[in-house]
Formats: sequence, C-alpha cells, structure tokens
Amino acid sequence: MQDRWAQITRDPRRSIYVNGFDPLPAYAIIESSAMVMSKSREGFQILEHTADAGVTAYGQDLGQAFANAAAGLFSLIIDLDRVRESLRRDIVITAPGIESLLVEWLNELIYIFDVDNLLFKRFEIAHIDSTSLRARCYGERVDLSRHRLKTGVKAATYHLLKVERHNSGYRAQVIFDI
Amino acid sequence: MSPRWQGKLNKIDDYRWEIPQSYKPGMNVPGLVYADTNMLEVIRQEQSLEQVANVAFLPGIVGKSLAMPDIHWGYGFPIGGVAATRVEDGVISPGGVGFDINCGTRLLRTNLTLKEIQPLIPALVDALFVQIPSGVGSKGKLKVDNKELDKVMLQGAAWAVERGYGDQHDLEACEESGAMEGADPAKVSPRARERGIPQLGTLGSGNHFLEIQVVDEIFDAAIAKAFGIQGKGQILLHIHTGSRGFGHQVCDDYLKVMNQAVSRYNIRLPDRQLACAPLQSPEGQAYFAAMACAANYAWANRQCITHWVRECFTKVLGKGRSELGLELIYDVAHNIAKIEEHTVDGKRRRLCIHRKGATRAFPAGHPDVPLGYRQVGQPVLIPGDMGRYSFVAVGTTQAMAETFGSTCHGAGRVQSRGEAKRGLRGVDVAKVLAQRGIQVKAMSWAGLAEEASEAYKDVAEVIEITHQAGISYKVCRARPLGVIKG
Repeated sequence: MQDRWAQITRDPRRSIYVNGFDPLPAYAIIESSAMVMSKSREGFQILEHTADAGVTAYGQDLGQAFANAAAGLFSLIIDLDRVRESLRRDIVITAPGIESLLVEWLNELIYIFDVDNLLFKRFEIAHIDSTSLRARCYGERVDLSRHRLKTGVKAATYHLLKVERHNSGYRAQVIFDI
Repeated sequence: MSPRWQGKLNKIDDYRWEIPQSYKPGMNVPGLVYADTNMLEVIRQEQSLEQVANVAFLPGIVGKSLAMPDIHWGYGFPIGGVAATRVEDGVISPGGVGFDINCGTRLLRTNLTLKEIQPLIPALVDALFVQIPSGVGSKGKLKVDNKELDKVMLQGAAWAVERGYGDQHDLEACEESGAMEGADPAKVSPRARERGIPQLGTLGSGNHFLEIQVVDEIFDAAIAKAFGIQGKGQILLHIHTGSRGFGHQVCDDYLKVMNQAVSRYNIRLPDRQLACAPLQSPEGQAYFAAMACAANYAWANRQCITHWVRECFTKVLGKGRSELGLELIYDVAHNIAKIEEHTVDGKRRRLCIHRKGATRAFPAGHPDVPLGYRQVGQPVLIPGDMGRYSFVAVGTTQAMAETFGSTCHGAGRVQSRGEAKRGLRGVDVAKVLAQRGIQVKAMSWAGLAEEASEAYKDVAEVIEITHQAGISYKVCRARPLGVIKG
C-alpha cells in the first residue's frame, strides 16, 4: 500500500494529497480547463471557473499576497472604487497551516460581510506566520444607495488552494464558491 | 480554448460511459457518466470527469462514482455527482453536499391559465420582487431568536407551517416531509446561527430564482394529471433556493473539522476539498447532525417564501387561495446527504447517499414517495435556465437499480460567470427576454448576465439523456413568463 502511494506522488501527472495534504503542483492551474485569467488588477487576478471564481494574488511578502487576496475577494462582490475607508476592523486568525490560514482569513471576511455588512478595500497585515495572522481592514458598511453588489460569495474553498513562493515574492491562489 | 479531459472512457451503451477503476490508482470503484456523444464532448472540455474519478477514492464508496449529464466542474466534487458510501465503515464528506446545503426547488401548481394571467405578469413580478427579499446579503423580514432558530433546525418546513405559513398538505409534498431526522442544533456553531437568523426567508443571489411558468408541453398526460398538471397553458410557480449563509457556515465549519479528521483517520484523498470523516466517527456524526439542521432551515426557508408567493398572487389577482390553487406539487433537495436503503450486489444495505447537484428520483411504490404520487413515482423538478424552460420528470425503478434513486438537477453551466458577463450585458439580457414575453427583475444586472441562457447547457438535452437512460422519465415542460433573480 505504502509503495503504491509513493509511486503516485512521484508521478507528476497525478497530484495526490497524502495525509499532510501536499499542495497541487504548479501546472494544475494551467491545466485546469475552464479557468482563464482575466481582469488584471493591481496585485491580484480573477480566475474563472465554470461555476465559480477564484483569485490569484501576488505580493513581495506573504502579508501583501494575503492582503491582495482579500482585495480580490471584495472585488468580486463590489467595484472597489465605490468603497470608502470610513471604518476599521481588526482581525486575528489562527489555522493549522499557511494554506488553511488563507482560506480562514477569507472566510472570516465573508462572515463579517454577511453578518455585519462590512465591505473592505484595504488591508494591513500587521503580523503573519504559517499559522496565524493579525490584520487591520479598512472599509465601510454596505449602503445600497451607493453600493451595487455584484455577486454573493458563499465561501473560500480548499480546491486548487495554493500559497507558494513566486519569483522573489509570494503567490496565493484560492477558488470561491459563488 | 482550455485542454480537453483526455482520460479513458469505456462505452457501455449510447447513454452510459464508464471511467475504469484502473484509470487512477486509488479509485475504489469505477466512475459512470450519463451522457450521449454530443454531451460527452461538452463535458470533456473541462476536468469534471477527473473529479468523478477523484470521488471514487472515498473510503467505503459502493457501486460507482456517478455523473449526471448536467455535470460540471465544481470544487472537489463535481456538480452533478452522486456518491454512496457504506453507513458502517464509509465516510461522509461536506464537499459531497456543498456549501448551499439543501439547495433545492419546489413547484406549485395553480388553477390559472396563460390567458388570465398574461396581462398581470408585470404586476406579479413587481409584487414578488418587493415581497420576497433577494440579492446579495439580503435580510429577511422574519424575527427569530436563537431559541426559535433551534425549532427551525429541528422542524424545518413544519416550523413555518406552525406559524401559519402554509398547511399540512405542503409538508406531505416535501422530500422528508420538509424535515430530516437526526438534526442536532448543539452541533451548529454560533457563527452559523448569526448568519442564519437574519437570512431566513430570503431568496439569495446567484442562480436562485422565483419563476412564474406556463406548461407548454406534456410528455406523459397520466402522470402529469397525478401531479395536478392538467394540460398546456396551466400556470406553475417554481422556487429555487437553499439554506443561505447558515448552510455556508455549517459547511465551512465542518470542512475545518474534516481537514483534521483526514489525518486522524489516515484517509488519502486526491483533492483537499473532498475532506471527509467516517460516518460513524464523532466528526462524521456531528457533521450529519449539523447538515440536517441546515437542510431543515432550507425547507423552512422555501416554505416561508411559498407563503409570500401565495400572498402576492392573492393580492394582485384579487382571488382567494381555493380559486388560485397554488398547491405544492413537490419540493426536492439537490445538495444533500441522506441515509437510505438500497440494494447493492443483491444485498440490502444502508448507505449514505451524497447528492451534489443531483435530485432524488424514487420510483412508484417506494414508501418515501407521498401517498398521492405512490402509484406513479416521485416528482422530479429540473429547472433550466431563465430564457428557456424547466422540466418535471418522475423517478424510476431503473434509477433505484443504478443511481441510488437519483437523476440530474438542472442544465449545468458551460460558461464561467465572467465569460457570460463579457459576452452579454444584464440590461440586454432582460430586453431580449422581454421581447420573448419573459419579464425579469433582478437585484444585480451583472448577476443577471451571469445567468443568461448562453451560460448553460440546454436542459432539454440533459433531460433527454436521463429519459433515454431510464433514470427519470420526462412528464412535462414549462417555460418562464416572469423571473425574479437575486
């Protein structure tokens, strides 16, 4: 049994998570059909997926990549130019690993949007390591007289989830259930 | 264009294709895809069949990893998939249900005809749009507290009926009578409650809708009559929504739990979103209990909306309920996991059936089919896209034998939301629909473009495959006259 699994993980065509959940190899993004990059904005790109959408975010450091991923999330919900920075919310997240941290960070923001109706456009990551994050988020409460909400985002998923080094910085990828 | 899925498929007959178990080491069962050659070509354009093969890795899966013809690429599990796992030693996976737990549809019949209603469609659409909260982050008008929410989680649609939102007949016409057993509010997080309380009684956004429809084709008059559909020209009302933020949070909460459980129980999976735990483990039992709470919330949600639909029709048409009809034909879940009894290799077994974008389709005579339909089989509701038509079908013994009593759930997307938006503007979509006699109201123009017909497979092709394969038989078709989108 053990041997068979070892063989699978060696085969580059077959990406397998073994116990500790190794991330998918980089080509998984490119190979995933129906997923096309579009709408390049500063620091993140929207990924298209047949039924859903995702974000690939870049940063010089992890914090910047995570901040850009959050901006990418809110860009799916609303035109970010329409959001004012009139309030601030501090968030602390802990998770078992860096990729889970990305999902939990984004799901925290979705939860805050859902419950407190807050839209954020700017994020300062005060601290980040592989299992925790402290962030300061700037935005405002939804005002339907000014805000045209585009898409509801149900959750960030673990599908094709990835946080990795990219050039001299970091890249973070996540797919949302829309 | 994106690369085709290059995997191996063995043709069984014109509508059945097998992904052999040898395709990927680690598959516990083969995959089975319901499609014709044309549909297969569409399906192969993305990687959803890879996901069908991945689902076959689930410990304790029996029969086959099934793909309905409306299958499309999801996150982890494909959308349009069915997986059955053994209750004793198999797993349950939140990904096999999805974030929108008990997303489903219900169909009401009226005594109205196209002739009487046509001039009133704009007024009806306006009234429904005002009375039924929809759109991103929409809040309901129900005032419930945590104690009351416990009752929603336990009683489902019956909670709404107790408050005067419907009657006993509504409950009889719901899958599970509108409330699943096994719900335990103690297994639901405070966060799910926080999201659930304000959103009860809302339609939501995305592909959720309310449609006023007219029957325009009857395929089986006898079964249609049994469902209360008398003939062409009869007006129906279709509701499509689920458990809103409540279900999303339950799924999210338990994905975290399952991610830990996967290591604890030494489960090996090809995609992290397939995370699962043995059904008999504390994690598996807790998820099932919380999922049942969300499923019941969704039934309560659709029941409340049904009540407001009836109020709108009564007001706009100035007629009483008995004159209008507006009785529930049926209500089905298409994102759910259920404990059911099925025959596998000649033996009766208790199985956990995951239906992710698939509809239960039980045959005539099955004890879970409401008495009024037991002679003909369970009504199966298959919504299409807003510009074309929806179908009513009926469950079959073939489905019981092959698909754990399941069939397709809708049209299935072929275009991403972005592609749809680039090709079309919501304003234009509404205009084109209006020219064809379909009145549309939506909270978001962009959202409307995402839901245009062009983004979907033709549901008629989907339903033809399930009909020819014998896993559900088509009964009638209805086209939209008025549409409310979130």
